[in-house]
Amino acid sequence: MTNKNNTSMLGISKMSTLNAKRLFAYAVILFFVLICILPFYIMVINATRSNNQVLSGVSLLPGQSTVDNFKNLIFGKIDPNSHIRGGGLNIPQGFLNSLIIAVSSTVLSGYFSALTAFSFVIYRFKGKKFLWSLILAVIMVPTVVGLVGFYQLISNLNMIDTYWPLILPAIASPFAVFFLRQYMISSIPLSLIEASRIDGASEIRIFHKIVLPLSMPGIATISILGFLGSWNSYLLPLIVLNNKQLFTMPLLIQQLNTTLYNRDFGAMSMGIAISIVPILLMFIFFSKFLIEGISSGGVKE
Amino acid sequence: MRGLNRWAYLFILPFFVIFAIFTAYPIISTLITSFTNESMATMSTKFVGLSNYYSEITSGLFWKSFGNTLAIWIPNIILQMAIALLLAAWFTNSELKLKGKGVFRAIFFFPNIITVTTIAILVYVLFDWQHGVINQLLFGSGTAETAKYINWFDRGWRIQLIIGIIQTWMWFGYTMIMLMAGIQAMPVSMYEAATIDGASGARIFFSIVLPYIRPILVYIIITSIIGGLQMFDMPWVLFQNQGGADQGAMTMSVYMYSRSFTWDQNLGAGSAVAWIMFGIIAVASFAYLKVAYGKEDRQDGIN
Amino acid sequence: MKTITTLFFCIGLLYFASCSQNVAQQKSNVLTIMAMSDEFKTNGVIQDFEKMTGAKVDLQIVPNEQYMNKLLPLLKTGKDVPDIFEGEAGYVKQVVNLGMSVNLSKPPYNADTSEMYPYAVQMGTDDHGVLRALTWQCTPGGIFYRRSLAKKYLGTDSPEKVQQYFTSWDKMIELGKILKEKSHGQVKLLPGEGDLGVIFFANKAKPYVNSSNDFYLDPMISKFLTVASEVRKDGLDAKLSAWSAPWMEGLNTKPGEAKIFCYVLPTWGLFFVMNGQKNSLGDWGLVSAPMSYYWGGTWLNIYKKSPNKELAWKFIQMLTQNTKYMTAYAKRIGDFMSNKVVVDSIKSTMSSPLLDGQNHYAFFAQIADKLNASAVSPYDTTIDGIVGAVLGQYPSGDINLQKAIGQIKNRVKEEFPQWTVN
Repeated sequence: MTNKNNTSMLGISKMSTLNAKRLFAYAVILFFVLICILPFYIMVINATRSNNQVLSGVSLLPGQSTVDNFKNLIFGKIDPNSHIRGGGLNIPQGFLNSLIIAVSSTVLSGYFSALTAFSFVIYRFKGKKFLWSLILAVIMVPTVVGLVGFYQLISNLNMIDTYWPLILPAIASPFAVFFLRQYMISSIPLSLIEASRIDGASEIRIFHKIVLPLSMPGIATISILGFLGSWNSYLLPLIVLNNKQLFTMPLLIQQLNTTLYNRDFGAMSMGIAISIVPILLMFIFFSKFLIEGISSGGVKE
Repeated sequence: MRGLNRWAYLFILPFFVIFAIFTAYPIISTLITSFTNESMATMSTKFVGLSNYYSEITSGLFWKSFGNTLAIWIPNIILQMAIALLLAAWFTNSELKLKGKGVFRAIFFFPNIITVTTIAILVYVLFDWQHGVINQLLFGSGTAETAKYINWFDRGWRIQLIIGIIQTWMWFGYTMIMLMAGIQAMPVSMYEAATIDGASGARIFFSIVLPYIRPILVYIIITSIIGGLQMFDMPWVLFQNQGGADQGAMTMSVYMYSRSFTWDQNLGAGSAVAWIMFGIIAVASFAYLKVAYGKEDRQDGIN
Repeated sequence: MKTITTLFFCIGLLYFASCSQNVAQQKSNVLTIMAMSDEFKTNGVIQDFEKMTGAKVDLQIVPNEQYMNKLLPLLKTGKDVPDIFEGEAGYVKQVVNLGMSVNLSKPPYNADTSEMYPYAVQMGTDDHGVLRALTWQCTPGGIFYRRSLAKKYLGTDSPEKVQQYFTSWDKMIELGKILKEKSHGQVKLLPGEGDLGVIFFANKAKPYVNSSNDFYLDPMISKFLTVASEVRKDGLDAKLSAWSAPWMEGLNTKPGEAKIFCYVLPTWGLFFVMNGQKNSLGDWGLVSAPMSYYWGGTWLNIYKKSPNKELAWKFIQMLTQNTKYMTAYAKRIGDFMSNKVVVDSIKSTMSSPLLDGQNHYAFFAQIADKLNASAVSPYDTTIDGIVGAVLGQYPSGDINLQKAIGQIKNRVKEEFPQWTVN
């Protein structure tokens, strides 16, 4: 296009094509913004509307059935004769269950991954190379490969319907170790460690007093990823947990598709909205960390 | 100094003990189970050699589930890469100077952190063919319009396409962030040299930027192969063990889970499926690495 | 110091997380029941039992669709097995045949089944004729129709008159066509064609699979596919999938706005599904389906190694043997009991406001007499699911019967590779 114009026109036409390009880019970006936001917005709006209203059409304005939907979701539908409610999903309980598991495993994973990564950065020991390649290899192994064995293990260990099998494995998180090792190599000055050794600090004290604080940004990043991973995990809790009272959020949310009483679009939307809100809040606070974590992971690969 | 190195064994002990119990043991135990006829429904177990592997490799449904998985994964990875590359190119383009990068990045990334089961229920509600939002938005809600509604889940290929597109929706932001980070890490001098040569923006992108970020592209695709070929949550929550229309949502993982824990509750055969899947994923990853790096340099793999 | 505090915090959490679940496997005053719904709690059975015996009940709810793959590993390892476990009609035969539940007809239990509907006893009996599970309820089914629509299009809403349209499948389809014509396509006979499945499944002559693992596809299945295809092809159903939100809404619409003429539901449909739908109160009538059927039901087993068998038996005894309690319970909830004497003693006094005062109890009693469970197999849930899934392959209703049968058999073969499927 441009090379057909004479030289004096070139600058202006280049400007205007650039502007057109920019406009086009913004339009496309806006489209994707809408696609990312609209479904959640509609769900939140539907959470305030009755089943009948949801069935009859889309609305961008809220309705008045918020409380009803909430009650139907949590306590189930009411029986007009006996005034007993039944078949609800105990979302607050599920929320608490998920929180217990996610917080415990995040803390364990952060601490022990840092400790393991620290050892691989600082020390020279026999089998180091082999163990390190083992960690790398396991990152690549799909989880389904051990699924049946995991299930046999926990039923033999009498751990079905406990949270141990969902929390303890966090101590061995190969990816977190991998990530933190990269992080520590670039952010922990060996001279500092040497200096504290001369001062007579014990190894574990060096880890607690120097390495851990210095690696905190890296630990924070990997912890957010770990927390999300644990919070969103579905397949393992599906295998481990039987009793509905122990169910995590994903297991309870899945019930929306199978329980008799919750076949109500208003209540279902309420379930979706409730499960999204905490993640949304967390995201608002931590998205910077998270995105930087992914970015740095990407560059270091 | 040398004495201090011994501390390492103590420090890595918790990791490897838990690793041995919860990762290594289950993998080996699955392998052993795959040579038996262990079933939840019967109380006795015996060694059956390779017969589970034989019956799975000759099972039509297993290969159908393999095909289904690819039918979901391939459109997803192509679409996701295309969108992410386009957006990453725009956001890093020094001529366009787009504003609000940080906010857009966060918005595009948001679907990625929502629980997949929640997304599945969202899909179930939005795509309900008689009263779902998608049809209402596409066609309107009068009587004449409702006649045109599309029953999204009554064809296997439609289910696969929808799940694929949802995967794209969930992952394009993540991929975009990785790509942007890679592009931004590129030395400015490489750009400048190209600009002086008078190359167009698109040309620079394809001949200089893309080759530069190749390791990231490879990383994204490899992780997508490993994750995508194991897809379970969404198809399972939506369609459980019958896989929906034409069994279209029966991915390999859904098949493996159904074989092990529902149907005839055959843990032995399910374990064999898991190991065959492992083989397929490993072969696919290595084949892709081969293609991506060819013969030029072998050290340049991931990690 | 901080890290140590966090560690302690975390260990505390771990402890908190696990302490509530370690129920010791010894005789205690706590009865553990692994149930598939919270009905024992919401209908007050547990409260009654606790008051009666002074014991405590630990009710663990495991969703129905996961019940078997949660129960089997417990039984296999013998750890944390509940004192009472259940079996739903679709898989109770698998549960009783595991040999993990006590023989209820022997001492000390000596369950009295003489007054029970024979089909209910049959379902809880294993392949060797040993009674291993008991139920308190019976689940005969009928067809619930809209009185307002019947009055408008058929000129009558009385169950006796409406019944005439449901004496055969042809008549039922004929009714669908009348409704379609008179309402200009507005009113549909059924919410979905697949809803009819339960009627045919309950009328099979032989089980899907016999003891030597030969698969048998009963002619009832082809009959089902044929009728369903006619319904769909002629546009007589609203194309809703069962239990979906719009399906539920169809039960709740106000009389003037109703578009669906009838629903196929059993006894529990009334107090478990329709009861919450206040807009349609009193707009329903009940007639029998072209073939008598039952749908669902829950059977109770006592774990044979349970240290708490005595207490477990007390619970089952209260629900299935104690006629005085059963009568009170039935009157309170409206549940249809498995004991004929109880049913006969109250059936004349029962009526439902949902049905505008019609006596559902006497109606269901007639059907319960005709039921037969000789064609139930351990894997009914899965195979019924396959039939439904294959029916779903033909959304327009244009079923090629031979092809559909082939698809069903093929899926059965894939899901149960060790069976002989011809």
